[in-house]
Amino acid sequence: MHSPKSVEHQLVKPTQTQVCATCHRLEVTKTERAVAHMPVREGAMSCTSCHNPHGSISNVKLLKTGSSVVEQCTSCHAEMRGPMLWEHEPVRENCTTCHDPHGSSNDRMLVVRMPMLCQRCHVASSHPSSIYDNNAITVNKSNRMFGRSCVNCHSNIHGSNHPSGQFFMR
Amino acid sequence: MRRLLAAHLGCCLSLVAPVLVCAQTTAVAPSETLTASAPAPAAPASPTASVDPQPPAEASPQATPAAAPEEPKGLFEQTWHQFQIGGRFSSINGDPARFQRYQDMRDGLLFTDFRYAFEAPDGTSLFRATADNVGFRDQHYVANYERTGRFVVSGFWQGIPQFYSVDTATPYTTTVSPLLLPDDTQLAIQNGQATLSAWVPLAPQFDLMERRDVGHVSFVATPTVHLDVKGEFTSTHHVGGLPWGQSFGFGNNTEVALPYDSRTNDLKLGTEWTNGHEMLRVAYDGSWFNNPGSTLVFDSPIRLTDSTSAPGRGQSALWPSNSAQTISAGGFAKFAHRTQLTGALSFGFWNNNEPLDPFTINSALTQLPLPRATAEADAHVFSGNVNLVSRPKPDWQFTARLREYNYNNETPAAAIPQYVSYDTSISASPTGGPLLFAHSTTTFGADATYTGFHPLALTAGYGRNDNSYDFRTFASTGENVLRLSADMFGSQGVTFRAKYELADRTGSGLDDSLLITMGEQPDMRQYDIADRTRNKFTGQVDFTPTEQWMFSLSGGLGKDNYPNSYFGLQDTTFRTFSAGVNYSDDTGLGVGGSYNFERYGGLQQSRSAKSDPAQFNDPTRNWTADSTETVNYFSIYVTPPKFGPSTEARVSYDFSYAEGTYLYTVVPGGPLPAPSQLPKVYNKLQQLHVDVRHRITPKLALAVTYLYEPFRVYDFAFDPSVINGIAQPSSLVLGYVYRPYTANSWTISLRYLF
Repeated sequence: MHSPKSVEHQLVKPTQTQVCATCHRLEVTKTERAVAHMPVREGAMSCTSCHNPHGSISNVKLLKTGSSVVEQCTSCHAEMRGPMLWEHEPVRENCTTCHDPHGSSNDRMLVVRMPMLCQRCHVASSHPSSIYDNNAITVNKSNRMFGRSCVNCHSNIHGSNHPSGQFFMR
Repeated sequence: MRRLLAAHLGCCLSLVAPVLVCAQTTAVAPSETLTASAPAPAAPASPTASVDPQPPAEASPQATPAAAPEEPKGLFEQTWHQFQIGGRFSSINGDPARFQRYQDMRDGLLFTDFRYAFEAPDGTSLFRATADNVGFRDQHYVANYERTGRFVVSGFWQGIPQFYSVDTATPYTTTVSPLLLPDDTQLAIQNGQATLSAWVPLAPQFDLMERRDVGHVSFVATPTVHLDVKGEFTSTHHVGGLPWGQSFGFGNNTEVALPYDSRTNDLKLGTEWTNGHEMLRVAYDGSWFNNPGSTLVFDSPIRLTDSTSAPGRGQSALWPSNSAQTISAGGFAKFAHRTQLTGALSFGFWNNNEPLDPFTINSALTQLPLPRATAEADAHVFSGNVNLVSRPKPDWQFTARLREYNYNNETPAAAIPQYVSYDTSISASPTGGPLLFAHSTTTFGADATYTGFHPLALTAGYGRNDNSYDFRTFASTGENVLRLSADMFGSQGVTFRAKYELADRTGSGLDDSLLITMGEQPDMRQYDIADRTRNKFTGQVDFTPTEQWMFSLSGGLGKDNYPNSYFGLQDTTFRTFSAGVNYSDDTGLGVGGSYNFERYGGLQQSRSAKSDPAQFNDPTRNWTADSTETVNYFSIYVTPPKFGPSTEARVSYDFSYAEGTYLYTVVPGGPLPAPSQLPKVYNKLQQLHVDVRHRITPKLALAVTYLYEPFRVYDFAFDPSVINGIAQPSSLVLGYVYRPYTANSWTISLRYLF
């Protein structure tokens, strides 16, 4: 307290991220991911954008807004909040089922790339359970293997308000 | 006296009150933490960079004399009377969008690092203002005014760009819905006179980007020493284009630049009363998401006119406007034996009542009747929790907590026995309409900590998580969690923490008919609710043998098993390791480095089959996918002593390499052909920051920063060879790709203290 290293808030290190990294090195390292990350290393966000390090009596994981992970995430990503006419269960219950909020090497901060992520819960016949190997790219030129993969068609994956949106394609 | 009491209250309240009703502490708005996280332009982003080995920092801003600017002890120390003005020049080979994903690094005049504070000589008021990256897409402004003991008003304005691509091109001629294509080309393709290749020369390049502009204002008033009243208003404008997929059937998808323009307004009002022994807080949170463009109409790239087998145009719903209103109350009470009870309740009301789009806009199909005119989507959310912390004896601490969370779906049932698939054909809904998903969670936890083996603290804890669901394959799940940890504290030079967690989750009330209805394998289990055993260990040691040296080691490993999931996720694993060292001495030399390793794995099983029972039930058609991701991260920094009396420098280097591999296996001798394995994906990012400052006069310094940033990447889903050579023109795509870049960026500026 007598020789703070930061400009504000009397932190023991120059930046907030460095303070948190003392104990939460893994999470802070994830924010440095090259491909998919929140804008922490660009300085637009910090750990306290989502967490209250002094405690939170209303939410888990010291999250500062709302009473659940979903409420915290949708405080900025309100378009996903819904509720929707057609809901996608994991979206309603916990964003971290599919996304790593600290950062990921997969597009859109997914915990694993598509189509593998979707195939962890969908084993229906035909295309949901097909093997999408290298032939799917080079021989079959499958639209499930490039770009946004499954979400090329199932674009309203967070839920749909369209009457024809049962499978999130509209 | 009031200020001291206020500071004490602020500390207590910050421990228990997520709503920022703080008595007299400077408002900890997000903007201030954002500002504080960037003390110098070339500050390394390394998560393990050590404490800056500079002389003790100057006094906090509240104590800074208002009249004359202080001369900093170091050229990298920020003051509250300064600005930097200069120019930025960058050379980017490769993808400039990826380099500027969340920042604006364009060339030009740069006015940044503006800091100003004014404190009344009698200490009754304080004003502060900051400005960074003025005029650029990532500009950021903050202002606070505090009347000591009375109120605090603060606000910020922040731009957060997201730059997707400069490689994108589209033949769609409009940038708002309806997205239109030239009719003559649509007709030519429809009549077989052309193919999708016809779109390629008609697609001009454009930059695909979006941004968020966030404006925020808040106030905290302290009418009495026991009472705080607070209000906040935040408005976020989200505008731009997103890469977005749409489809008119299997094998045909169209990627569009989704036009997006929404605004979210958030209002928070709250009041908090405390006497130091008890606290009571009530608050209201209102949030309104407004998306006037919640319907997207888009031309088909393969035909112009509607038919009973395909449309000339499609329509999709986008994110509906919605609102969430929450009323909450919380508080704490202190008791004897250092015991504190904390609790909170909240009631939320979520709503989306947007008009429903028609089932299809394909004029050749029979229109289906809507179940109702608007969505009438409603949810009532209840959350409550109680926490108890007690230290009845010097060597014992106990904590207990109980949390309840209920998401009640109040949306009226909608009978939708049929829907229109891809605006192409009428299909039967397997469920007859939306399933009204709802869930509730009850969590109990208790821990006991013994500190009799000082400096060691041993903790044992138990947790129980019970969840219940509507319309999930399990009606409920129950999980027992055992936690053991050891911490070393208060010991000179050594801190230590080790934590082990063992958890076992079991589902009950299995209803596999839900899976069968959706055409899923009945033995598939969704991993977020499936039976699961978890073993997880993490540990960390920090060793500071002298004032100059600090060493740290940490690691973790763990595995989640899903023993009763015949299909779906089978297991996930993680391994992490990190090591760091930091050195600093009285000469001003500081040097440090760290290395991080992460490895994640996931094994999943599926069955490639058609719906006929012979295939659907054939175990020889099973396959597995083993996904592995490894990340190596390395960081070093050097802060040399001053070069002479007037020159200082900082250098940092960060290296990150991430790699993903995917291994498919099939049943030997089975009917599935041997898979052609996917290529490895990787990305590699390096950042070299050099920051040199030279004092010209006591108030003026020259600052030169250099950033060298090469990025290399390969991802088969986004590689130009795939998107441009294979995907296009079999599908109409934007051309959004992952490309490498090498950036050299200079900033030459003058730093002036006033």
